[in-house]
Amino acid sequence: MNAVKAIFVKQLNDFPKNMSIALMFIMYPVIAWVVSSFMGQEDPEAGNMIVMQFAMIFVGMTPLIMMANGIAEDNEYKSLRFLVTAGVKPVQYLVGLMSFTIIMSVLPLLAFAWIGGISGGQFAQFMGLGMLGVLASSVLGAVIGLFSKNVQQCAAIYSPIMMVLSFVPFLSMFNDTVARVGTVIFTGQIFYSLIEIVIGSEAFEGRYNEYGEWVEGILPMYSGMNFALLVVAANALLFIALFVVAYRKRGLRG
Amino acid sequence: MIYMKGVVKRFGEKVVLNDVSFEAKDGEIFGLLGPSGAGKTTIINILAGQLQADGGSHDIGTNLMHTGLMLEQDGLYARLSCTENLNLFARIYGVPLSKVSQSLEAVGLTEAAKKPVNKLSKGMRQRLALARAILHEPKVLFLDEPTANLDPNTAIGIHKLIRDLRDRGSTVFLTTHNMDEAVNLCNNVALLHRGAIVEYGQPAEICERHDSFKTVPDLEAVFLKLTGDVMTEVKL
Repeated sequence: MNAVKAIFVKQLNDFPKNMSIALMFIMYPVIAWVVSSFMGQEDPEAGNMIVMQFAMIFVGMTPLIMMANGIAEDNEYKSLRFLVTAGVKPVQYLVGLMSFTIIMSVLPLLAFAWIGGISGGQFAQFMGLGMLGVLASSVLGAVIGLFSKNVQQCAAIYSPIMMVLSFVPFLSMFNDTVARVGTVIFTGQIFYSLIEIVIGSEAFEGRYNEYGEWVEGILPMYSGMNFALLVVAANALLFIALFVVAYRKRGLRG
Repeated sequence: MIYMKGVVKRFGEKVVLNDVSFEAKDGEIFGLLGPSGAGKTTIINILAGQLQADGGSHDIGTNLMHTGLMLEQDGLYARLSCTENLNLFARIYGVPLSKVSQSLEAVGLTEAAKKPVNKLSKGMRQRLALARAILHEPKVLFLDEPTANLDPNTAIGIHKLIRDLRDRGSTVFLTTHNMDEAVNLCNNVALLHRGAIVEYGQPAEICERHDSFKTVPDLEAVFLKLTGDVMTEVKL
């Protein structure tokens, strides 16, 4: 427990000094608030959709980068070697890093919920889904960190992955094939669920506008919250399995 | 007691350690001498559990938790302050945080306690790495070139600190290519050349054995005689 706490406190001390990471926690909610304030004046639905899009991008990118960078940095500068020699077990190291990442991710999620005006039962759904996504993203980040010898290599691995996770759900609005990919990745299901929470099923099913004309839904068919939770959990399990393979192959020795 | 017996290590086809055997008694300062690339760091890495030997046996006589490690790559957290770096290890070792200021004082870094590591000079980083290594008063201390890059005054201070640790019962295992350091500091030394031990014993004894003890023991001359190589790196 000493080691987990020590790693957690180390992360806490490092967080405000690691500007590139700390900024992501502030930047996404702030940009979401600014953009939604402008867009929401004319079209509240579009404003809320933008907030959910930023929430999805945050969940897909930030915990992943934080975990991957943290492990790669400790590998590159041999800090991990000293931790292991001091008796820190790999599982303690990872729990310390991951618990900090997950706890820190709560604050931006709360901010997104507030900006998007989510409350009551929807708030619980939003936070549950968001935290499950943060878990999946963190584990995937740990896998990438394990495979990276240094921070540069780490960025080269996570950049394309991150782009798929962040842009595919958004691009689902424009292309059916992309939408099919979106239904099996955790960020896709998180995005669709968040849209369902703030806009409702008409975002998928379509609706009649004020002139009585039928308007198609902006996103592919949504299979419901339970299916979304199942996909996010399946993604998390897949990443955990990948992590076990990566850990057996690469280990955490510094 | 730290020992290696017939240790072999290969990196691919290259044999970097070939039948290496020595022992360092409890409570002594043991020096491993050799030029760059001789295999000194590989030996430390094997003893400190960072690398696996391909053959032979070795032991450090204690749990890795009771060792202190100072390597060329210091592994310090660059954005954190000196105190925060040591606090991390104090928490891991379960030693009181008050030990942190004592360790910083011992290496002369009290005034730099709040400075982030990335603002320290190379010599200061090295001293901080030493402070981390001695924080929990380890039974065995591995020091890889502990005074390289340090000014003479700081090096003397570090020598005193190493002797103090030895006097308090720690076994100090250090590598160096500074012959004077080895003669002045070490109880026993092993001369390492291309992955093999070519001499082993007390510095003065070794020099006498090879007729290189004129007014002071001259390990450099012994090494040259045995290997035909110069030990000290010449930087132009």
